[in-house]
Amino acid sequence: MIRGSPTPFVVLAFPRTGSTWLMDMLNSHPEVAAYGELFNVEADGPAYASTDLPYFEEYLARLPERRRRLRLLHGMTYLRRLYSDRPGIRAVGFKLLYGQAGANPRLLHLLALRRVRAVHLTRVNLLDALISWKAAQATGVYAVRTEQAATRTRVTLNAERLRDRLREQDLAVSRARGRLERLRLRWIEVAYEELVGRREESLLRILGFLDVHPDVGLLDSGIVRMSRGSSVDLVENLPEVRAALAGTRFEWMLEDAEAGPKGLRPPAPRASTVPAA
Amino acid sequence: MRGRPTPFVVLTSPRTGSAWLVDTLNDHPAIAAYPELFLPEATGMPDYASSDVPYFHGFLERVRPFPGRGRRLRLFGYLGSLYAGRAGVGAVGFKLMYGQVHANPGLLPYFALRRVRVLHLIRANLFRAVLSYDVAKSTGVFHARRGDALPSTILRLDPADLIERLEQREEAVTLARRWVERYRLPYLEVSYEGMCDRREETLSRILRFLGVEPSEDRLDSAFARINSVPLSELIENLYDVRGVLAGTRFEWMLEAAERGSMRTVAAGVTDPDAASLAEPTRRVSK
Repeated sequence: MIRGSPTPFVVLAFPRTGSTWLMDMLNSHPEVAAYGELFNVEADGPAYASTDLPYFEEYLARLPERRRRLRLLHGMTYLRRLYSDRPGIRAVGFKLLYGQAGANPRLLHLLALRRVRAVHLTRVNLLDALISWKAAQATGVYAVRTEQAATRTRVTLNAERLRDRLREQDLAVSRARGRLERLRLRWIEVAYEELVGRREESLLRILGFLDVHPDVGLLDSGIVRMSRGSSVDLVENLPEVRAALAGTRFEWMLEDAEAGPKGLRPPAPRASTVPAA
Repeated sequence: MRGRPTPFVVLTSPRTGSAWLVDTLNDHPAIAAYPELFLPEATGMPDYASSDVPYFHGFLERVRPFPGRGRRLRLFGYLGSLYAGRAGVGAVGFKLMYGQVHANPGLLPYFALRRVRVLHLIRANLFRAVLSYDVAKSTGVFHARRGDALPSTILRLDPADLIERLEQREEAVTLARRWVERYRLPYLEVSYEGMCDRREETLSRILRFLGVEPSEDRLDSAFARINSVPLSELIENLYDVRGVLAGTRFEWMLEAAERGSMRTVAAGVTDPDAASLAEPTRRVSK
């Protein structure tokens, strides 16, 4: 690495994994510049984290039309600009959703060429993620700040397709891991559940991975968790969903979601260290 | 029926109920399912499911005078005869552990060439798989016969390496999926949980995948399911284990295991989780 250049990173995630919160949190660190979905093909999204760079599509649109076809070349220039030296900044990164990686072919290769570090952000409870996604789609609210009131809505899941959907998402996570390995990117994996359940430890791990001052006290975000209760309360057709998942490997997701967010649950009873006779 | 049967492989890891699955599939009149033919150092014939093909290691020792030479060629020859046409058999396959794929580098290219169908058997609750393995190690009983009384045990899970063990299992599943994608193999993923709780539905899916008609009789296995006990009576240091897993992406596994065993005990029914492998009494050759 050139002396003084920041650590380039990317947060690879799928929707509803707490990635917006994480980017906002990282961006509050004085040594980190974290951006949102720069490769969102719609060049549109909520304003959070660093916003001094245009979306890639916006950047392309400013070029003369005949030059826009050289996407790969412009991608290289764009990334060079993104990861350039900035005073006091030791890590620069952005958020990339699976779909955006698919819509921008060779982007991951470019990131590999630049030896970008990847934080793979997942969520093990895929059902929770799906409900949250559906609810966000219905309300149009994808992230909530402290001062805003969360809008709650009820959603209907396609029970017939539900298992396939969860299976596909599970495979997508595996595929993403596979791509990171194949491209020999340096990467770590953090789950949404860990960001919630072991907040400090997980953030410290990420800061350490990005080679910035490991002080979680420096981090802050105005974005808060949207749902305070159990996500299944939002599901209109719960009996069908329950029937669709009963006896499958995804059943635990419903049970887990029904128990509500981890932080709000009563602590597990202490087990006797000496088993009963 | 003559002609080439559908070649398949059950790709899996330990404690996923794979021997039960292989034995159950072998009960189908049109399927010849073999156990771990690539078991390291194994010689002679398998001792459950179909057993008319020797283990690969034993086969190599018999046919190969010079160790280390021509292994891949022998491997292809071995699989060629395994998957050869046989009267009345519509699908032929065997069980293969992830580690055995590493140890036999020619397997995946062969599968790609022959379009071998991969039945990937996973267990979503990795914690239960780890626990099941430790229980088996502690009792010395990896396979139990139907009706066998198993010795009870109390064990200590090492909290220091528990997360690492779960991560290793998680990575192994990811890697197996990558193999299948890279070699573009026909693929079906089934889970231990689905096999236990949606047995018929899962078996139907598998039979469709193998291109075999459903059997008129209910498919059965000589392997037994074993009664389970609440985790608090099985794991001496359950409190430490809870502490290690709390707030991690594996926490749900412990919670589900606790819920499952409590439900089972309350209902007084056999616990599918403890489904173990038995030494069947019958030997089938097709």
